[in-house]
Amino acid sequence: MILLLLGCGTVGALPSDSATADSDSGPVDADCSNEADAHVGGSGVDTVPELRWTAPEGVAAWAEFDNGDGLTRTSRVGSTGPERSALLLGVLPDVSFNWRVFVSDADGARCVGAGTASNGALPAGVPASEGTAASGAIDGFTAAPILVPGVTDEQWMMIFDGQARVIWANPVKGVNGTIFSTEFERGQDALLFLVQTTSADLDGSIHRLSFNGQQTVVATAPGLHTDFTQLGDGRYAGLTWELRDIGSDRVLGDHVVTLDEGGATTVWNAFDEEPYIPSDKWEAGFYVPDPTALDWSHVNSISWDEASDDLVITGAGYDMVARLSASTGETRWLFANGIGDYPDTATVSLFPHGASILPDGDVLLFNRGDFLHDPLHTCSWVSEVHVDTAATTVTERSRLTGESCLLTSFLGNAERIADDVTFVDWTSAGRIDQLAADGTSLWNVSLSAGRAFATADFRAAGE
Amino acid sequence: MDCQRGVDFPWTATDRGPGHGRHVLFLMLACAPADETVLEPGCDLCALTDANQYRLSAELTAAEALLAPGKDVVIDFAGLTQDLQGHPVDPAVDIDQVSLLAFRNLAPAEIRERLVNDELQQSDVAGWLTAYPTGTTVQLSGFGTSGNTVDAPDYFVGGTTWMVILARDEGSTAASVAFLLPSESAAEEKVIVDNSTSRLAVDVDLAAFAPVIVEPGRTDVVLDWSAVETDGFGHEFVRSTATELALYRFDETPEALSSAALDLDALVDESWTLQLNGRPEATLDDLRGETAFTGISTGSTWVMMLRAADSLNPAPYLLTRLKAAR
Repeated sequence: MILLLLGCGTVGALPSDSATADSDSGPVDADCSNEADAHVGGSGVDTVPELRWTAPEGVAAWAEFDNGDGLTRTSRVGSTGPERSALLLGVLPDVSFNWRVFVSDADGARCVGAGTASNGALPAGVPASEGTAASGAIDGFTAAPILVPGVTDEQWMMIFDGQARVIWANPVKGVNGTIFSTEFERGQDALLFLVQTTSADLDGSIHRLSFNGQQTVVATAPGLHTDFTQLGDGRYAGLTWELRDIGSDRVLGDHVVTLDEGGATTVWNAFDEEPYIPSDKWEAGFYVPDPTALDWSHVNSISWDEASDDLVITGAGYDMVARLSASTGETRWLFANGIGDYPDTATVSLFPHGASILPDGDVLLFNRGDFLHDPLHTCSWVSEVHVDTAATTVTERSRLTGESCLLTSFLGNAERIADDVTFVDWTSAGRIDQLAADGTSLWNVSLSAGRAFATADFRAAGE
Repeated sequence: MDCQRGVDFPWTATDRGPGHGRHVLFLMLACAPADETVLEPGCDLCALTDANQYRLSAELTAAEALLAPGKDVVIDFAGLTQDLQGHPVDPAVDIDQVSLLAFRNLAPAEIRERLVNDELQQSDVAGWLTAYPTGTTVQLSGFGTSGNTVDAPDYFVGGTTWMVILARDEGSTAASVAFLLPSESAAEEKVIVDNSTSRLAVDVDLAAFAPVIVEPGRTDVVLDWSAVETDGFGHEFVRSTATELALYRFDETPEALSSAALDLDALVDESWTLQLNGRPEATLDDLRGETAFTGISTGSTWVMMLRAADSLNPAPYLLTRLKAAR
């Protein structure tokens, strides 16, 4: 650990009652006591210092720290004690930064410790990236797996800050497979990521990777693949494979499962919800353990809507998008090409990958486009789609294509991160954007040729 | 040891299976300067700056073939007996992987420029396919991804630029590069790749930067590159990308090395490496090699490099000379 405690003494600006909002760093003052017995040490990841202090039990306490470049961040508020700690994610590598500790009790909020420390360096071998940030970009953190496809010993997890700079990078070791998806763990200083299995019979796994580098497996399931999401009750929802013989065809289909450390339960099964229509569209060779298996439903993404406790999934097989109850698996609606109750959706959904419910009930949908049949003239895009269940119609209300034509042939995802800003992960194209409503890139990172992103996630500053 | 370290090439995979493409295109550089007597005192805590950093200049030439679109074009490399660096090649034995990269918005000159300047982005590549030849020809229909063949001739249409890379050493070293350009005005369905198809020229002026003058015979010398701001391409030096420090000792004169800049690895007399940890400094005590490192001495040419073991970038991010003080 390279973190050096340089000393305690200079103290921060007016203590903030807010434990979540970032603000411009104020002038240094001397209004902090030393009662917190606070000190900074290494965390296990050199660029994430850990601040430890004491506070009376039950009293809310938090830390403020600058990122070494003029931006003050605030840790989570903790109210258990008396030993407190915070991982200071967001400090730039190799900079000095100031930190302050606050408590809020009957006397109000006050600073009880302060100091200056030096942050450590990124590890060696971080994949090269370039990034830009413009006015209007949403400040926060972007977590992304970085892959050399097919090479599982060169996988990285990286976090970029609001200026598209790498502030955290961790080479992922000890996983037996490819990382396909990551999310910030809700309310925690950690990432979750999914390692896809290679077979319907073998376990895929969801891992927890703390910002301090500690990694544990939090759930496994046979056949777990491609994507997962966190539910509101601490469980996860994911996708698993099933092989089934239908007539003379050996068919690869998908389940939606909920899972935790105790196992997985199927809540939705493509074999029950989608008709199997024999077609030469279902190609053999995708499923390595049985090259004769036909790649059919190809469910490939899942997201959870907190307001409704619903899940949204996409499936490339029928260009399908469906909304399900997370608790019962009941299909709220399903639109697709050639099946379902919604006709004429071919222009709305084409090799979809990644869908989520917007606050107004519309669907944000990432379409990869026809990369199989016309890859050199296909641009992937993001649609905002309105589903009218009464009229059984599906309408594309708007479309984002980014600043240039990018083809995503592997994964792909979009999230609405503010009213007019959309986070777009062009995965195989090695680029992530924050796009304004007019398609202007407000923030972006790009990888050098030879590497790609898997499914990334965004956490706004203060969340 | 072959001197070039290779460029890792872009790939395209699909949800229908992961793909993997690694191909080397490139270069390596270097050469060394005269080992003239140094009268200034040597350092044991040595702070490197941009004044000690080399500058790489490379030029890749590659033939451009106008070909009939939509055809199952044949790539014939039977006449390729020298690679793009002039090394001998047995085309029937050595060429074990051929890659085909498709670009939508870049012309050959732009692609070559980005390659040699280490500026090619993943988003520049629209498609990547691979073939594993068993003879001295390969056709577009023989290319695929993830073990699946793809109807490449269907995609070989106007408005696209295709780069073919013939590689050896299990795809890790580029032996030749050519551009295939579908054109409605062309009827040709075959392209010949031979010794004249591509050439890589590298220019490194080792006299253009200052050597680091170190205390001779000491193994506890510390090199600190925290003040280096520019890499060998002239870009911002991002030190976290480097994974390894390498130190080479040559008996040859700098002039001899300069004339064989692409063969440094073949000419090295002793070499040592150490793995970096992200910190901008290293102690030469930690160097390991087939022989013990006993310090920098006079009478040899010493080249120190920071590079990434599995980098897309074949050239060192930092290269300088160490010279013993007297």
